[in-house]
Amino acid sequence: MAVISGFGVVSPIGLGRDEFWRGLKNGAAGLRPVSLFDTEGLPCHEACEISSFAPETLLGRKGLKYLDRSTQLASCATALAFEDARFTPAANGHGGVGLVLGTMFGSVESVSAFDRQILQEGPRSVNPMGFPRTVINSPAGHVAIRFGLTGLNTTISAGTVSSLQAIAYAADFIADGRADVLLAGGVEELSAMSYSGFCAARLLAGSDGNSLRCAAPLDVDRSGFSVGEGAVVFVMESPEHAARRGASVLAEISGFGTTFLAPSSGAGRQSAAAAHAMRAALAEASVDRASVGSICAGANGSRIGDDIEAQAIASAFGEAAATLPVHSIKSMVGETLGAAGAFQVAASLLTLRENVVPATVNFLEADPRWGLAGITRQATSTAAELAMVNSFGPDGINASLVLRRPAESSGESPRS
Amino acid sequence: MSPHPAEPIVVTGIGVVTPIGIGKTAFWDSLVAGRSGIGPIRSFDSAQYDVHIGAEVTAFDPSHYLPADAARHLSRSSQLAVAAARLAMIDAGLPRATASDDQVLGVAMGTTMGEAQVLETIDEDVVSGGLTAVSADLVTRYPCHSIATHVATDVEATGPVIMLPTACAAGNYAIGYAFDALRRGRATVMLAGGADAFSRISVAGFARLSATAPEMCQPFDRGRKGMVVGEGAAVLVLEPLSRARARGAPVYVEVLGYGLGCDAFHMTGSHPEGLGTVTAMQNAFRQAGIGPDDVDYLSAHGTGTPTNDRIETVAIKQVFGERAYQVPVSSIKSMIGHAMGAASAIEAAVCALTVSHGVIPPTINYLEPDPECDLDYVPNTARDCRVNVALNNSSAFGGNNAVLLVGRV
Repeated sequence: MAVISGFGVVSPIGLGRDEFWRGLKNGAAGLRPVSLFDTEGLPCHEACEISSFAPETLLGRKGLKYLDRSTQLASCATALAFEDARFTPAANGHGGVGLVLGTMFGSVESVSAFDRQILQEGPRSVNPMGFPRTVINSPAGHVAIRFGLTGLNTTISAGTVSSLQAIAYAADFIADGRADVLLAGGVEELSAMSYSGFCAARLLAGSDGNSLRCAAPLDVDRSGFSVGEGAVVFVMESPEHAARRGASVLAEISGFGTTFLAPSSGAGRQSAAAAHAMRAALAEASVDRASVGSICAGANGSRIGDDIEAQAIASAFGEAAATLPVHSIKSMVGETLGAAGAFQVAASLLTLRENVVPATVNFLEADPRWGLAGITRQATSTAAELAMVNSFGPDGINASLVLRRPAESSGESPRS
Repeated sequence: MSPHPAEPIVVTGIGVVTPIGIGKTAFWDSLVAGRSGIGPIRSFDSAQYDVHIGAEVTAFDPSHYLPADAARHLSRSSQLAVAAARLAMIDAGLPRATASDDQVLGVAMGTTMGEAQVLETIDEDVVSGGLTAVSADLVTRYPCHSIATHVATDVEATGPVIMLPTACAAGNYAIGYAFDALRRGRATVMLAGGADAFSRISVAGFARLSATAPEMCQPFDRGRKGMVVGEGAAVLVLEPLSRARARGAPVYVEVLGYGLGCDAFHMTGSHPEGLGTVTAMQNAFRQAGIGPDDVDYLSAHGTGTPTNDRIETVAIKQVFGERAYQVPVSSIKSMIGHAMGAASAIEAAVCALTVSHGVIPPTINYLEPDPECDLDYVPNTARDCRVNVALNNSSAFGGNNAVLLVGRV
């Protein structure tokens, strides 16, 4: 078993735990005009970009210009996580504190910049300093250097499921006694390459000429998703380690389930595989489905993906599904891809702590076929001790995680 | 989390796609013969580059190994990976799509550059036509986890599917992940390995870092001049021993444990004392419950760069003490170059084959001893040697180090 004792978040709706929660609770909109690159000629011009990102406030100016956007985002989230958990890394019996980071595209802008230099000015012209940024584990490697993280250092890519896989990976190492403290989370930068690819695939809200130009997750009239960016990093530790240092535990990782089904298998079978991941997570947590108080859905407003997840929830939760509070934060922070699961875990542990399930912004009406009446239109109160996080990728990878409110924190007054 | 049984996890299948052989038999024969797979770069015109040799899998014809549609549509890293996976499944005697009720098949793969060739095409499109020229299909295929999902789709996996892009240590990471997934009961069979395609980004980058050799790869030799960029894939089949025995599968080795550690020092340069490698070896021994005295063969990361080989030697000595001088250490990168994310997966296959054949492959191109690299590097000629336990070292950009231990069952 592993617990979360703090986290850092850099998001389109705020920096740090308190701002992030305020944004979620108030239904903040992270969608704004893209400023990182020119969207001229593309069908969409908005994204959940972190427009006022000022990494020097957390990292100082030294060495900053050598860090690309993904690395800056992950480094800021790490600095905030240590502060939130009131923890500083020091050597321990396993070689030190480690880091497990999920990402989908990684520092793709750095890779492309390096390659385009080869194309335009020749292979002898490229700056060797740029080459180390072309490996997908570059952000995690840089964070380890900056913060002296000499324990395990693992980068995980599983599409939109990346950071949920990263959190489960860290939880397993801690549960096995192979690490006392690990950082785990995800990072994704807004990139011109992925953005224009999603535009070309007509996956973004409004990209097919539909009047609804913002993501409306789980809504019957949804037309696509909004791209987001950001980073979330958790401090995870064994309950014993947390107790020893008097840490305030935010949540326990209770169970995890992951499945795969080839994406060409059809929506019905995809849904069954997703439901299987939820059941596996519940089984590993040894909890009954009726005791789950909320689901932070992976749903992002995509026509096919949301339908598969909604049907899967209905199937996995049976009668309980009818009234179960289900919400998505992706109309606020966007589809943050490799960081998405970490954003959802952050939202869910705040739900457990603050007893509020945030609204699914832009959601008005569910597809009646689903039988899900609990999709949140406004922030809803909850007293449940368990929350589920779903991440089901269009490429066939599914994962679900069950979080539990720690017993000792029930009498504590919430922060913020 | 559910408790996991202490049942041994074993390797029952090997699939390799390398410059010196596709399939374990051809590959092993070349290794023992000390054959080099390094030659002039053919993937692209290297005239403008500072390096002109590479270790490409020139004999690879995707249509021989993949279904026609996959051979056409998959990009090269995925093609190499799927071919290796199919070879591994055949080697393990696992029919495709057995889908027996209790079989949960998962896939864990590692890579350095992912589908770099896909990105290179996207970049060419953007340079000529701007962002509106970006292809939706290519952007879908670029993220590196597509290598794992392409393998998973081909073998009809239903269990955990994951990509570990931990650069040149990624194969060991992936095998370690598979080992854990099986121990935790999240899967009953795992395919694990690594894949990377030859890319101009790697060739240009390593050349600009002055890390490449002009003519040949000479790990641990005094005159070594650098590494040679390569490509390839390897996939191992892992399963619990009882399941392997029940279906009468061949068993190569048991996975004894693995360890990870990070230099947290420099993105490309090694820590001067090999901190991350030392940590990773120590963690591997701790998990396996054995020590340096038990190791009969060490497959080195051994890239052939002046720094890597010197620091790796320092790290081995620190962990092994006097025992370091008794353990044969070799680097097959002298023959197949550096296959990036596939490298440590290929080397894990070598460790398994070393145990089953009782032969250690050589470090070729070894001409002159280096006083700073003074271990037994099995120079130039394969050696008969009973190997009960083999250690597989790997290091990577980002200071990522992963060490795998396998042993005779």
